[in-house]
Amino acid sequence: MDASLPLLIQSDGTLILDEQHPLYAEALEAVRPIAEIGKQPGRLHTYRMTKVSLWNAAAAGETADRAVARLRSCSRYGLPASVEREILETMDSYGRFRLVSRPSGLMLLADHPERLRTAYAWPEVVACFESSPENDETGVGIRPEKRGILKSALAARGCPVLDEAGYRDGGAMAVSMRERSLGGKPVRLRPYQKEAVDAFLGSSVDGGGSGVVVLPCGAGKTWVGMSALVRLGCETLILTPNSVSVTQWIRELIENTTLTEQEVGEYTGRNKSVRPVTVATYQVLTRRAGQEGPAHWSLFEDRDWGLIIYDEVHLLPAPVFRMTADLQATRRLGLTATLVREDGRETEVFALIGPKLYEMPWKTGEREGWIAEAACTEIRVGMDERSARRYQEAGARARHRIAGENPAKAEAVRRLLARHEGVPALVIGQYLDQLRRMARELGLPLVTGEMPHAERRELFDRFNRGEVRTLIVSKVANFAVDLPEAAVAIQVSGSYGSRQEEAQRLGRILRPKASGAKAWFYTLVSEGTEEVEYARNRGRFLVEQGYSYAVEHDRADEPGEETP
Amino acid sequence: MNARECAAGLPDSVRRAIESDPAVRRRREGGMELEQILSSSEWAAEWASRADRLLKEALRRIMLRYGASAFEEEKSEEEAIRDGRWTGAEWRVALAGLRLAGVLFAVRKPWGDRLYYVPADMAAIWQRLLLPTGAEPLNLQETGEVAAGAYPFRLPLSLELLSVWADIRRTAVALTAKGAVSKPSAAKIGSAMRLTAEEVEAFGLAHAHRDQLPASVALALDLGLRTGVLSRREREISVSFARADVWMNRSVQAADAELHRLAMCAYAAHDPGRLMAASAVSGCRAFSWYRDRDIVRIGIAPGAWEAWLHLLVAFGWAERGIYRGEAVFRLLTELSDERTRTSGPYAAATEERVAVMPDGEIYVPPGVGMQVRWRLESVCERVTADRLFVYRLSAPSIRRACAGGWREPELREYLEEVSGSELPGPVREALRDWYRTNGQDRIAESPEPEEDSLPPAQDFSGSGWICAAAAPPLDRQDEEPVSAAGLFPGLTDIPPIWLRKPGSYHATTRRELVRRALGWRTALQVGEEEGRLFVPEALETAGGGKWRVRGRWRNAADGEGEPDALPAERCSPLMIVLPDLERLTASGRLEG
Repeated sequence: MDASLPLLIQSDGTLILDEQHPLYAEALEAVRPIAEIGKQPGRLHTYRMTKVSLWNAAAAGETADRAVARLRSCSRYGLPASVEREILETMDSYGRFRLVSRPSGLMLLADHPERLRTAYAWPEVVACFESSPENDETGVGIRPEKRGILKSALAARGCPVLDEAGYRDGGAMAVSMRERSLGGKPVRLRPYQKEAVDAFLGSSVDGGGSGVVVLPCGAGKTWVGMSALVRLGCETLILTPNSVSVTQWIRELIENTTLTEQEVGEYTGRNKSVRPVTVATYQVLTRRAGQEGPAHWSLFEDRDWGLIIYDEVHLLPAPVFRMTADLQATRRLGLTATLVREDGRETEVFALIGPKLYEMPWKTGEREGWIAEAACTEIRVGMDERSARRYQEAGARARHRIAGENPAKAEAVRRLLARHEGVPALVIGQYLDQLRRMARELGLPLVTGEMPHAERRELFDRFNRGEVRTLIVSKVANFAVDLPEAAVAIQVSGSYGSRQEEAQRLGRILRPKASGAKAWFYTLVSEGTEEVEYARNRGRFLVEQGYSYAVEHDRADEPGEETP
Repeated sequence: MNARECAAGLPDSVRRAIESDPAVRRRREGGMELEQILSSSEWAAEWASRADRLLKEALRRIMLRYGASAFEEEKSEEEAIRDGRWTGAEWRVALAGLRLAGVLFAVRKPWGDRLYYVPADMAAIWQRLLLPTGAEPLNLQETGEVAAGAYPFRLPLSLELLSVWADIRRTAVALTAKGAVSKPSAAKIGSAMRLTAEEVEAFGLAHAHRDQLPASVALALDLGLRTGVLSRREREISVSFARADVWMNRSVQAADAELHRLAMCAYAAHDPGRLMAASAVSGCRAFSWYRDRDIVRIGIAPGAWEAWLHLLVAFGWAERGIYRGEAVFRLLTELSDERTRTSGPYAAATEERVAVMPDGEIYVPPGVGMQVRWRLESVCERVTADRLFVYRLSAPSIRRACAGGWREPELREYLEEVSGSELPGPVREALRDWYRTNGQDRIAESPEPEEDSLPPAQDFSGSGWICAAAAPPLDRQDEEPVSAAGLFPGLTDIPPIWLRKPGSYHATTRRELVRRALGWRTALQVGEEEGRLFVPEALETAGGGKWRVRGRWRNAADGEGEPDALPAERCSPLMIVLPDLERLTASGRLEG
């Protein structure tokens, strides 16, 4: 044991790294290539080493011996033998099978005849073979339409395939980035965005391959996608988790590239136009037409796509995986802030989208000023006697709303706004009645989903121009907002259960500020109600993401008391 | 039974004899109790440095052949004679000498046979003093060539058991009317353990209700009962709080060393090979690789060595490997009492602090002692039991803490004390909220049941759940004084000259000398040459009043010698040779 070392390695491959240790940076260099960050509350950061993270490392050129030696050199209690074995076996398994394109067709090559014979015992793999391999053969023909299924099946057996079979070009499309956006801002990729695109396209003559780029929330993943699309100059299908994202993608594409509205299609529940660049939701693709399977599957075949972009790839639904298996000849770019999936299907992302090609850690982004530093604060707000009584007497369902609509929250908002006077702020809530009341009491403009689009747009533009410093927005409206200058978000009510929602809301204010200021994220919680426990779960999530999280008690003597 | 208990039950005559030894007397005068002296390694070392060669040789033989099992005097004498290196007289005298030294203890069976035994807790000490392995660990370069074996990760047994016992503290183990552990209880405990039933079964321990109690669970209960952490009542097994508190008041490494000692006494004492394996291995330094053969060579049966090492691996105390085709092993924690304060992640000397994270999780590194862990178990939920234990503060865990008597300020202060820093804000707030929700008024007045407020025993040797096979029936110590006449019946009836120098006697007298020697199973000196000894085995009549004695000549070097048959006329001059009674009774300890 060497107490002077910063890394603790658990027997299940969990790596715990002490951020305050003098050798933290060196240890991080050992950990980052082979593991994914799990959580980072306080100074001890937890990384998870999985099969996929090790395959990713191998795909990036890391060797097992080097990984083991590096871990050993910074591990306080040594490297458990079981973990060392797992690293060696898993990393060595990458590349034992390769898919290549030969004049005769698609071939699966193994590094040894025995390995191919082993694979022949797996029915789901054999189903992809064109013939049975002879005893001493190291290659077998693969049915082209089975390329994805084969990769998925072999990955599930612990044998990731190195896909070198190449990609089709797709329909050509003339497109470039603008010099200046339609709004007049210079269009320029940040260095890490350019690095990410370079990593995706690779150095090979046929223009790279497929894989995933990992960037933290607010770091501009859309820009990586747009740049890849531009550099490949091919027809592109962009898949996103919801219609809000569809809107954002389309706006960004038109704002920053030479693509016109006629060239960019929206494929969602409400609009189904297929154009050279089409942005769709995962949801619409998975919609079924009775017994006949996905109703919109043809979208994949409607055009000669040369690139498919999977936004928030960690949310990719299982049916889309199955569709993706058939699209292995098309380049695929996954974008995400985390490779960790709630459903544990990381292996399929690896097999069907590709390995991790680039990652910028969140802390690096914050240090370099690419994302704003955020401080999260829970404000406990007391309830007046009447509300408290109502809350106590109400049923379980009604309680949530009573706590959320606590009238005392309006004054707390006033005090917070006074604390950050002059800083662009958003007040976000779930209940329209509450928001309307608050807008009236505080004299602030309110944006809801009911508001006509043009009117909404007008308010947002004024906010972005600094003419309006504070907006109250409903939950629905806030998803569609792109308000990069917002530096304060005050959440007055919400579902308080969804971590996803929390991350998205926080992501809104993480864009770097022109002033370089940090961002503040407040959540108002009614003291003595179930909101406290909900908030705690949410707070834990934020803490685990590495944000600072404090609890304050709303005090009437705070500045703002005298604010009109 | 351990040395203290054995010493406490000594008959007066033997006690007096033992106390007359200068090394014992000096210690007694210094204020030590005899029980304390006879269980101390310092006294043992002094005894071993001064003791007669014959006694030490006998003790070595006992250790290798009987371990800490009780053995019959007569049978052991037969076996010693059969080996060819001992006369029966030498063996009996050596046993008596060891008994009068306080090394060996004697009991009598109801029908009169005398049994001897070495207390199990002294076995390791005697092994190290008399059968040292002399094993040297592999050097750094050799260590680099060791290929460690592929074993699943194991917690050190102390921590594996701490988790089990903490679970039992929450929910006592229900017993059926027949005294068996209920199946659901057994299954719940077993499922939380890394140690498998198969691993324990492979060692061949016998326990009651095997059909419904996995061996791993039986072991956890057994050691819990032996340490006193658990206590058995009519319909349940539960934690004995006061005794648990004493047990937990030690480093993880010290707990493992104590568990090893307990396991050795309880599970290996009946098998000399396993006992020697256990004691020899505990003398090895942790984290250094040793060759198996360097340990086994003291006389440990390979099967016994394998069995014990297999158990050590399962207990998370050792790992095995291969060095240039040879089996090697290393301890992962110090198992010797003397070394438990030295290096190693679980050593007390490297006491570490826990870390309380803002999300309410508490990280407990290996160097945190048992007491802190035991307390955290009562106020947190266990999330991970690995090299680093992770606990989580939560509303339900604080409810439990409340019920256990922890008040908010007390808990906050405790967590700050063991983490060495202020609690993170969110954790402070959470504690405040949870305590408020639970209501301080609901805190139990009496934190935990105080069913055993008596001062707990420091010596953990309660009876357990697992029955070690062939446990010695140590209920009645032999009260018969040790005497020369008892060793050699009829000694006072013969002319002393028969024992003093070779003489030329009439054939009838010579025959009587031979008959006496045969009866006492001792040697004869034939001729004037000192040391030329003949060990008689049978007296044969050759007809016509003639006789001859069959036996073997004794080689001075190793005791073994050529068989021969001496006619009466060759048996002259003749002397009966008794073991050096003078030397063994120099302090007058042999009565009569």
